[in-house]
Amino acid sequence: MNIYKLFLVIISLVVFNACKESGCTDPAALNYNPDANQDDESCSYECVVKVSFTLSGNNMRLSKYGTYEKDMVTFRLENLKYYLSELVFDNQSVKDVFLYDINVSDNSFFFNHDKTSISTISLGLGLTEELNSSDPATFENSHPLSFFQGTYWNMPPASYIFVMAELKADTLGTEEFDLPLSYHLAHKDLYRPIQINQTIDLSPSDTTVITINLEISDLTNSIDISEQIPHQSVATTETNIIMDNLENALTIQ
Amino acid sequence: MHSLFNRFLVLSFAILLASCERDVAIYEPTNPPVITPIFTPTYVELITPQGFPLAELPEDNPLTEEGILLGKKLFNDPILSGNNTQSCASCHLQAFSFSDPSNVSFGIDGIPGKRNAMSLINLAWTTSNLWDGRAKTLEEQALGPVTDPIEMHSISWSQVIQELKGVPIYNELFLDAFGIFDFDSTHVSKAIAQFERTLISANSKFDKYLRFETNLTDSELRGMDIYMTEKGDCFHCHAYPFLTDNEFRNNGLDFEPFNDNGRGDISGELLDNGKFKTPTLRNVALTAPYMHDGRFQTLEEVVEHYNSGGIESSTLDPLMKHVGTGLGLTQQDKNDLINFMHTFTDTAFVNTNF
Repeated sequence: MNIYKLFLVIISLVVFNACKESGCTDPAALNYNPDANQDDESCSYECVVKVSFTLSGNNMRLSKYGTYEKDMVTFRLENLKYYLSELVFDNQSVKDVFLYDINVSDNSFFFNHDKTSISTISLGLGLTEELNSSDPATFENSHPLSFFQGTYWNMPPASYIFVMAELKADTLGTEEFDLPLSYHLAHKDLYRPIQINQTIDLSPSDTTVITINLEISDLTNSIDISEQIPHQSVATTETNIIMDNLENALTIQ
Repeated sequence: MHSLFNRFLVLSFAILLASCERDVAIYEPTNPPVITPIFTPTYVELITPQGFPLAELPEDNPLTEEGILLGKKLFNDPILSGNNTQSCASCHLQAFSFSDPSNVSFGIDGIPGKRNAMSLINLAWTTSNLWDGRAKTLEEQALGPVTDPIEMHSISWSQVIQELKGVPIYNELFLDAFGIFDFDSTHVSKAIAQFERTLISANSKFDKYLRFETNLTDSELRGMDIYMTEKGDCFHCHAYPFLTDNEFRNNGLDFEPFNDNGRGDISGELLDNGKFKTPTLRNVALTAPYMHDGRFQTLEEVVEHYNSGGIESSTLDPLMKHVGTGLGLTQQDKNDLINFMHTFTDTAFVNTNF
């Protein structure tokens, strides 16, 4: 009798396990297994992600020649370019280098992600030492590191300009924008690695837009705008403060 | 029997031949036969000077020996002008680095234009053309002056093409360059653009200095220091290797309202008024007079303008940071800076038979 019971248990276990097939159980996944009844977290997707870079001043969208206020002074933005390096979304490297340029209409790029969510975005404001030592003559015109971006100083110590912000400030309140400001920040020590922990759900069927915004009004926090910042490859107290300001002004929206 | 068989064979061939001849005789084509010319151009690789990036050439206008040759002939031929007196080379003289020594250029009717003709240097690497950047490509630019009423003032491109087709050598050259008999204005502009892309300057004293082939004098070295630092503040807009940033800037020449809105007239943006393309400083010692309207006759005047700080206006470039105060250059500084700018002269460029 005991042998009979044992036999029944073994048979039941065999039958039960035979019915349990693990695999991807999400019909939206590329590797959906209709026979699977136990999800093994192997689902793979091709989620299209658009990473879009935007600019705001006083939390309002800003474009070239747009104005914003800071500490009772109105600023007009004439030019803005900044580099981002090593953009990694959940261990997936999606871009070695990206140049935001206010003069171009579309500051975005696309990539495909094989999961339906992203929880960590890491990137660097400025250029890594390796990228900063690139020879601009080796890139085609449209490449972010080419001569044609106007972001390279070849006098020693040669460097790319990590951030190029050119503004005019209306210090007299007469709308004449009497004070020119040009912050050209270039030095390897100004590189700022940034990690953003934020869960973003991705759609397997539609393009998901991830917007990375820079609030430019934070640019001059703790900076005396009447003082000119030297345009040379150097890391000073002021240039470090500006880079810190920009690092903190980058947010995911 | 054998003879009879032979006769039968001969008769059969004769009938067959006759029937063939009859077929040919009655064939009347409705369209003339299309003759496809044999087109075997010699493709040319643009030389990339040391320190220059690869030029991005248009896919629909590759450089060929035949195209460059034709472009050179067209560039120098007054046939493109309304009264056959003026060519492209009339306002872009090689001795002056393909610029015009007149303040502004004069057209065939003696009417002055409103701007100085820009020098033609390293155009394969430009991102826009003309002082206001209205021509994105060289091909586009070359179409403009021919029918411009104050420049070459031809009545129409179709008339120019008819004139060119009346010159046998041009029919041959266009056939060689583009493989066509029925050429039009686009082929003319493509050929001129090809020629212009070969106008490369990269052998100035400063180029040689950077290649460790020569030394600079003490004065030139001091001038380089002024140029490359904020003491002179030249490097922002005139950075090596092209000595232009291809941007549009207001460098503080005029009060508002501007006589010439420059870029603003093209973009329609009021805050672009008074902005002009940064010209290259390559061969700058040969390209007087200076600025978009040729207002400065000498480099001394140019340096003095920047030393003064320039004139404030609503569109003044933020990089013009010394309005009202000036740069404070001494006479020695100015001399050194000008001596350094003379190292941008590439005498081979103006003497080469392109």
